[in-house]
Amino acid sequence: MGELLIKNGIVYDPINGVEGEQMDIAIKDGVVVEEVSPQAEVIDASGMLVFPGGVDIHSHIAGSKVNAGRLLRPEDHYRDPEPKTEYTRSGVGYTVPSIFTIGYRYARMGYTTVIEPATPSLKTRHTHEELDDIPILDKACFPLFGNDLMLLEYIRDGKLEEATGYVAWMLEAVKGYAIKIVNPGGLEAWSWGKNLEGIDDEVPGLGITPREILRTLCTISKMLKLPHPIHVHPNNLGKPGNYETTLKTMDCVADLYEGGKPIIHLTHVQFTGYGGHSWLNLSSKAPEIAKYVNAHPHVSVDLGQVIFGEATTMTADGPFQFILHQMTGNKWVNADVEVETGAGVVPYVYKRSNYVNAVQWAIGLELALEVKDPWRVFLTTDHPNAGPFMEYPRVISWLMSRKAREKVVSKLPRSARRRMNIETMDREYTWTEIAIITRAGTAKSLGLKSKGHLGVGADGDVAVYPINPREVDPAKDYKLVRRAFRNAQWVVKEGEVVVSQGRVVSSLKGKTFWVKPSISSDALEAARQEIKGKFKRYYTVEFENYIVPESFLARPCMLKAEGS
Amino acid sequence: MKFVLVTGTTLSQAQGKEHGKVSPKYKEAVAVCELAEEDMERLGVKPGDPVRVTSPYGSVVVKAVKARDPTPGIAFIPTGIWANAVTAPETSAAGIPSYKCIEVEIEPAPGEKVPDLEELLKQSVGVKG
Amino acid sequence: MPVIQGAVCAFCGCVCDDLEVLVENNEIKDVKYACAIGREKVLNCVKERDPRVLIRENGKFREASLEEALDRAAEILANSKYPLLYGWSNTSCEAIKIGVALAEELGGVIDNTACVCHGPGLEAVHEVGVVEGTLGQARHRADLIVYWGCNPTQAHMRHMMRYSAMSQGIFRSGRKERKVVVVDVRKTTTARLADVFLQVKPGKDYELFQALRMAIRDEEIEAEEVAGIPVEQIEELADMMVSCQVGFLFFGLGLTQSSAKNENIAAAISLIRDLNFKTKWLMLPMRGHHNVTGANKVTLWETGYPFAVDFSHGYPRYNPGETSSTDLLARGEVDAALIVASDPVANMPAQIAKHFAKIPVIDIDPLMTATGLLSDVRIPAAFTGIEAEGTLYRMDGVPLVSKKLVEPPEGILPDKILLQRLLEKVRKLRRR
Repeated sequence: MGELLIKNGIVYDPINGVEGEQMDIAIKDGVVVEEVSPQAEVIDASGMLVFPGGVDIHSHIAGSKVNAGRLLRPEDHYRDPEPKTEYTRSGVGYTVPSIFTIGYRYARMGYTTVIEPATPSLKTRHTHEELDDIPILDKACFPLFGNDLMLLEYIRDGKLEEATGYVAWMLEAVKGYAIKIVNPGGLEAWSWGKNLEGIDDEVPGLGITPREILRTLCTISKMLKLPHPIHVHPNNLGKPGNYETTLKTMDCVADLYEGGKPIIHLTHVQFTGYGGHSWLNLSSKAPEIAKYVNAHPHVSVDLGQVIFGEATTMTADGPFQFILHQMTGNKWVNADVEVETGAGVVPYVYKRSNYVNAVQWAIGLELALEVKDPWRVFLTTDHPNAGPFMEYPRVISWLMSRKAREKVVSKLPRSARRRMNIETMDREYTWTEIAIITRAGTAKSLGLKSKGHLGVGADGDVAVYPINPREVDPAKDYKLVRRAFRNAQWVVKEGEVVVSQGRVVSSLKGKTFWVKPSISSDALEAARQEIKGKFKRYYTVEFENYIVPESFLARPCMLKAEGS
Repeated sequence: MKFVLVTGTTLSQAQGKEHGKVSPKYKEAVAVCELAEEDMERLGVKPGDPVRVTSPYGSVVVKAVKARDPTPGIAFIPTGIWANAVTAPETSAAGIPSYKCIEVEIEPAPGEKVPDLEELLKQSVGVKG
Repeated sequence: MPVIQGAVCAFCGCVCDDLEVLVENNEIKDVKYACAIGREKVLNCVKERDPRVLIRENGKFREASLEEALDRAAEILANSKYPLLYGWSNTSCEAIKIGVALAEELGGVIDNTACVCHGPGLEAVHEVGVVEGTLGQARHRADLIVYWGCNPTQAHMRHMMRYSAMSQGIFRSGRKERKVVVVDVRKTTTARLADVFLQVKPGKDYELFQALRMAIRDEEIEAEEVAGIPVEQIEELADMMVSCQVGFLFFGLGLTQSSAKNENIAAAISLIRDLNFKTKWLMLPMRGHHNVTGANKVTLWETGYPFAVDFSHGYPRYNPGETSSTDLLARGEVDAALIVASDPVANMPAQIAKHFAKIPVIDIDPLMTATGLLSDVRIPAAFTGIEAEGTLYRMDGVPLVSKKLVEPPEGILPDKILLQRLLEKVRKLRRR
């Protein structure tokens, strides 16, 4: 691996309190060190912006539903080919790119860690196969827990210990990282063609509510000392008026908070921040959500920012995808996973001229502008749901420049402009805040201690962008900002230069993080025996064949859960 | 006599396949044409007699057998090289040839031999060298 | 005697993973729980292997060393302008990934056997989507099961017992708690187990699907019969389909290989989609080879397309009918072929397979096949799922890893290793 010195860059490293200082970053054997020898390879970053490698907390990049999206949409790929080069494999874009292309395109934007936020446990071996195929990036995946039949039965029977053991066993069995919850209880209902409409509705046949599922899993997440809190896509996503459900979802675990890091992460809040009673009077409730987040340190959120243009919606939320199919008439994939979860995919186009889409666009940005603590709000497009990840630079420019936002707003339908608040918001993100919402904050939220910063001991993941933050005014020259973030000058992964002048020049295999929950070996063994005993009743595969051994992963990296 | 030809997998074809395509068991299982009893009578053939199956795409001699799922007018040959001597190469721009529902002429072929794999290869596909 | 529990059957798309295999002195002595076909394969296939490495010289085979054969194969591929890499449904995902890399390196075409089986179903998904579920959804919840153009009693022998009509689920148990419908052109052995059997006229499935779609929308069908089925019977089936709690449609090659092909499947999907506006319905194709689903999935995530992928432009292109192996062969466009774990010479219509006699063919397969007989280089491989482990995907996309049950004979290597060595040799030749 050798040594590397990134000289004279203008460094933003919020975790270590560095805000735009000109300094050198030394990397040896893949890790940031105090200094390197004079033989080290040198990158001259004079007059350029230096960030830690980007960390994306929520992007659908791998696994069965992403692949279902690829199958559904060959037309998505036809016009966006990536020919092979001396260093890279070929592939296709656009909203659901092929696997190698995902790695290269993220790397070119300076991202080095990306999380797949929803994997059905039964098919997580598939997710790992794809994650292993992604070049350059480090990654992890969140197994879905909100609708596991075995787990819901434990909750129904008030068996917290068994439920805890189940989650611990499952995370370790499939090499997952955190607890993902999608439409709690609603997908079990969807197995019967039904859905739930609020957090106090009863799950058919079980008599428990989403509230109980959320509270139990939040408690379990804390007990197992998982590094990232429960990651929640609430009930009623994508429906007018759903912001109340979102507020209730956040609030239903408030009393479980004992200080420190947030205990619940609400994801792609744009899709869950809707006011109004129908699509005709949809309005932005981002300020209400932001108000709650500002007053409650137990919550963090990410945006799910809408990008006008092509998207492919894909979630575990089967009934939501069916509603979207009903609304749009667009082709629809549904993929139920026995006794665990569901999934759906529907192509979608966000149009600037469309009233609903315009309001949706505003909600994400309003949320980012209204949440005061950048450590608890993260940049995502819920790729590829609200837009492809390649458009992050555009979102960054909107956050840094009121002028950039106004340019879009001026083209939106008048009716939509009345239902949003963005025109009154003059906050403009600083370079430091951008570094927080795209790497430092996300790394912290994930509990990835070697990511998101450039202090000694951090992973040698660095992005050098061709823009001088001391000379460029991002509020004015937002197009320069966009251009710089699209193609990094250099990207370094574990001390190796992987991108140079915006081109991928090397392709190494990244790590896959997984978490070993904090639980006594006796308790884990008891859970294992119990699950093994009833496994055949629930599943169509054998217990031992369900488990993904660490040897199945190309480069596994186990993290012992020790809380925050 | 005109028939609609259907080809497809069967239990014995699948078992035979796992023995290797050059095995007698495989030929036994797939070089056959299943016909309804009344169709056999009309053709004047008995189970075990050779019949010639001809489509616009080729012709092959196989052994007539009594259909397990008899439907008059439908002839069934298990998936394999004998069936594919007569299946249709057209893919309808979908990539897939027509393996089922092919119009064929079936006639008795007294004295004719059911070719074995290598003979048939020569006849209908070609050889190297 | 050592018993291997939870062994994974590498025969059909059911991928039953509950086999018990008895092994003694590196020999498989007995298999429990497998179906007749799976049992035959696990017990006997290794006995039929042809271990010879063969190279054709002056029209005749001669035995050769593995190294020589791989060199010859690499030469053929490196000298080819537009090679076809075909097969892949009976091997591991690990081997398929190397196949994709090799096709990209060569600027050739990689295609799998879906092209001649369920490829039309994938094309239909491009067009209209699909409403699927894993097999456990059928087992636990389905109270109405329809088998259309498929014959599980002959081709997927444990399907009905393990996953569908007769399976023991949490919310439904056994045959008596479900209704079973079979639609086929013949009264198959599966049809004999049905509550309702509709004998559709050959090639008329498309019409029957559209009639059913009309019937579930309560539209009047102005005809006495459709596709050979009286309209009253169609309306009765439509009523059954609408009034069940959870329905599940399994379909087979009877739909993909006849008349309307991909449009049959698009119509089937549309019917199931329409039914979801009334009640809950799911569907799945009855995939044949044990890892044909994996071949589609790996090719899909690595190239963006599930089969028939052309790299001649340096990036993946896909257009079944143009880039599909069958069409490329029929038009005589490819100038060399690498066949892995498949027998297209026997399995494609002779009018298509003819082209294999005109181009150099490399065959990698444990058994001697028609393709092997026609090949120029023939390399025996280990049996995936018996002598080599590997990742594979069940017909419903559930991933599993097959186990190595016995060691292959000395010198016989798994596809994955053979292909890796071939790729390295090809790269070396092309860098020259």
